[in-house]
Amino acid sequence: MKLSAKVWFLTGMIMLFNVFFFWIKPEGKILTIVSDLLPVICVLVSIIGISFAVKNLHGFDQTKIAWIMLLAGMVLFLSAETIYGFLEVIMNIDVNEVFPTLADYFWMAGYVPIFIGLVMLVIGYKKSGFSFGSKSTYTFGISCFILITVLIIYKLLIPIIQDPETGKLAKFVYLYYPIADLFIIVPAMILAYITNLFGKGLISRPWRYIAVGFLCMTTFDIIYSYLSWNDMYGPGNFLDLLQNISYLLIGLGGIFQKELIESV
Amino acid sequence: MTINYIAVKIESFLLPLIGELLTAATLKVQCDKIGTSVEKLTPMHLPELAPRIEQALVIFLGSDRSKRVSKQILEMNISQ
Repeated sequence: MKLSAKVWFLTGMIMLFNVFFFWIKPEGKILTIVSDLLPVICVLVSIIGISFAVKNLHGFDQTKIAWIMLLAGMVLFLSAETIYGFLEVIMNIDVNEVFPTLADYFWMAGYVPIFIGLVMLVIGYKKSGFSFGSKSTYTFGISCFILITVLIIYKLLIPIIQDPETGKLAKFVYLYYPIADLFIIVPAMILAYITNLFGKGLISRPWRYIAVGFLCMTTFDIIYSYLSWNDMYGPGNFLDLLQNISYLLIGLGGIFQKELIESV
Repeated sequence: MTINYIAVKIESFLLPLIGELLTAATLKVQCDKIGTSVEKLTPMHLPELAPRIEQALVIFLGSDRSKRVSKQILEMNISQ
């Protein structure tokens, strides 16, 4: 059985367990433990997957650097998830009251190499000479992006800025996440669209998975930012499924990249 | 429909990698760039064509594997 098939199976098992566990919602601390442990496991899968891709790219070129950037981002996210879980489960800290925590600095740092990596892939694609697709699709995409941005500004960013009770540092971090997510969405959407142009070509599969993975991740994060700001988020929220699947898809992207290189 | 046998060989090689639409587009664009057409492709064009296809694939496969693709195109047995 191919490695990608095994990881697909693992993805299915993790997601099924996630759904089941959040559905039964056991009492006590176990829900918090599982809620915090699952993203750690999932981001670990993404790191392993992307590591396979990096290892199979011989020669230190733009392609390898792009994938290394994605790997660096996911390693920072793993640190963030682990610290977050440690603070909440072991130290019994209410991470909503003590904000930002050390975990947030790792999350914020992680966005930078991820953005760089995705942009490098888009720039590399431009150099390839392949078609970028139709202008009308980009026009539609830009319109949707503007609408989403306006919605986020009015529903989330302005309330944060205008809140008199939140300190400057906390405000900065609260604002950072959705703005960074909007930055990530742009190259991820471009990658998602251009991989469509390849039809069933093998070459598009890794990028398709990482693009969809990062789109899921940013969607989760924006919604989480809103819920968290409005005190509507807690352990066992089904929104976490989106975060977990995003990490797993990114990992699968890395494994498909490995298999693509091996197939040539 | 492509009836040039070199082009057919290259197409069959690229098709599983980049799909039908982009295989046709890539071959056409790269042939245009080297001053020929898909229908008029000859073995003489391969040394010019192969590196261009290599360059197109490098962001997906990395420089090492895309060089291998280029080499495979150059070494293609084009007997009809």
